[in-house]
Amino acid sequence: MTNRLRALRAERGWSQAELAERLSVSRQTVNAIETGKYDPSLPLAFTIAKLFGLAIEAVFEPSLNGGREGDNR
Amino acid sequence: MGSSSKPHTRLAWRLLGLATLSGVLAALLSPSIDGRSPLGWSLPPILLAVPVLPMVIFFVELARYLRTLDEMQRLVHLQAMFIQFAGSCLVVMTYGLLARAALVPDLPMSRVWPFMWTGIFWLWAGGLMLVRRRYE
Repeated sequence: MTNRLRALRAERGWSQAELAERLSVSRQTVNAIETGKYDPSLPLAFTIAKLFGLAIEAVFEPSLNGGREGDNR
Repeated sequence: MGSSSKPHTRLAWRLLGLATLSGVLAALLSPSIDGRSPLGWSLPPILLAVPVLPMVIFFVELARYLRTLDEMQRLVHLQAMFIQFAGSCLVVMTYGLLARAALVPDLPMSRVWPFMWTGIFWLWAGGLMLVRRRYE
C-alpha cells in the first residue's frame, strides 16, 4: 500500500511528532507509515483520512505489486 | 499514547533494572540456602522468595507498558516475543540434546532454573532491538 501522508503532513506544516499526537500514536508509527514500512489498521487509516478531511482512498492506495510493500510482515 | 519515546525509554530501563536485580538476588541468595554462599551466609529458604518479587513487579510493569502501546508498537513486541519464544525453545532443546550426548556440561537444573528467565529476558530485549530496526 502507498500513501500521501508525508505530503499531506507537509502541506499543513506539521512535524511527525505533532501528527502522532493528533492521531494518538507514536512518532515512530507515523514515520513507519510514511516510509511504507507499516500499513495501518483500517480504524487508524480512517482516523488519518478524517484528520485530513479526505476520503480514505485519497490518502491510501493499493500498491501495484500486489500489496507486498509495507504489508507488516 | 505518547508521541515521545522518553517515557518508554525510562520504563525500558526500569524493566532492565528489575530483571538485573532479580538475577543478582538469585545469584546471591540461592547458594546461601545450603551454606555455600561466597559471603558465608546461611539463610532460611523463605528468603528465596526475595528474587521473585522484582520479577513480579517486572511483569506487572510490562503488562502496563504493553497497554500504552499503539498498534505498530504492539506488532513490534509480538515479533520480538516470537524471537524470544523461538530462541528459548531452540537454545533449551539444543543444550539438552548436547548435554545428553555429553558434549556440554550437564548442569544441575536447580542451579539453572533461577537464571533461565534472565536469559529469556535478554532474548526478548535482543529481539526487540532487531525488530525495531525493521520499522525505523
